[in-house]
Amino acid sequence: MYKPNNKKYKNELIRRLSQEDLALVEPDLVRCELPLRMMLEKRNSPIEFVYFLEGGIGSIVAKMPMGRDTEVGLIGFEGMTGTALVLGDDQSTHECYVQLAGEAHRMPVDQLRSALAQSTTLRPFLLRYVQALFIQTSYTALVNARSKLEERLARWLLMCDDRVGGDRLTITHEFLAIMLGVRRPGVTVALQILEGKGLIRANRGEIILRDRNGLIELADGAYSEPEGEYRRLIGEIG
Amino acid sequence: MPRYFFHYRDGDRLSEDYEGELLPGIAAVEETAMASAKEIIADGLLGGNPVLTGYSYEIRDEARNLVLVFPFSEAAEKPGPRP
Repeated sequence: MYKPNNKKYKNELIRRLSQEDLALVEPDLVRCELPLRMMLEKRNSPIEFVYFLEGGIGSIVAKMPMGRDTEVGLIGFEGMTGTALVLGDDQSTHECYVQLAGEAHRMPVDQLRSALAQSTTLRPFLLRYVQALFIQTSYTALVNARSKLEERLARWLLMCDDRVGGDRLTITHEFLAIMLGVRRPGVTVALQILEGKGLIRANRGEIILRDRNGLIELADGAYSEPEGEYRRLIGEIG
Repeated sequence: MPRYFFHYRDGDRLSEDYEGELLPGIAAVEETAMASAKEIIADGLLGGNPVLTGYSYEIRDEARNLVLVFPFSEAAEKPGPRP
């Protein structure tokens, strides 16, 4: 676990950089808005900027023909885009785009690469986040193979809620459909199932979480295990 | 392209689709309903439920005119696009 020393940042990774590593990256961090649908990484293309999110949600989406795109990674203020770069690659395999508007500090890849080369501690620290994201993705593979629609929805709602704050989520059904790997109309059905169990209230594009513990129980381990691994690798969120 | 709203009916209960989606026409509406219903039925079966045939999509256009009622039983009985 790393202590959050740099409290003027909301990004959990930047907050935990050592003073030396912060001094290396800080001059190249530029604050930017993340409007809905902004492309952060293009599929099979060189990465230009790495985004340390301060708010909002970025989604790594694997593409399949006929609208069968599926989300394989979710990033908020606990993380960063550009994990391929930390691993020594210079391009992204999947698309990554903004699914919930927010803000970030972005950094050009050349500057991050040079910071990684100058520091003996920056890459090992960021690799711990890469591992946390890898664990998240492995649980996504598990639930997509084995969990029912409403169980997957419960997990995603909890994951979004962690990254948004407050108990109200304004997420489009189009986004939820990609997260869940179903056609968009099916989202209404899945929301109705959770509403019927008294776990949420769905109201005109707004989803209110009424019973977090009930949702965690329904997600059946697929929610809390990866979050525990993040805490072990990086630290507490918020 | 017009926007269509896929409201979901479960007996007396109607869950409204406030968002809708842009589709080229009625053929695409029916195809989307069919594929989506097949997904929901398949997911229910894998969860140990019987085939959910009592449900339907009530699809309306932006003027709230009823465009199509699609009972899930059709998706259980007829072939359609892969979901």
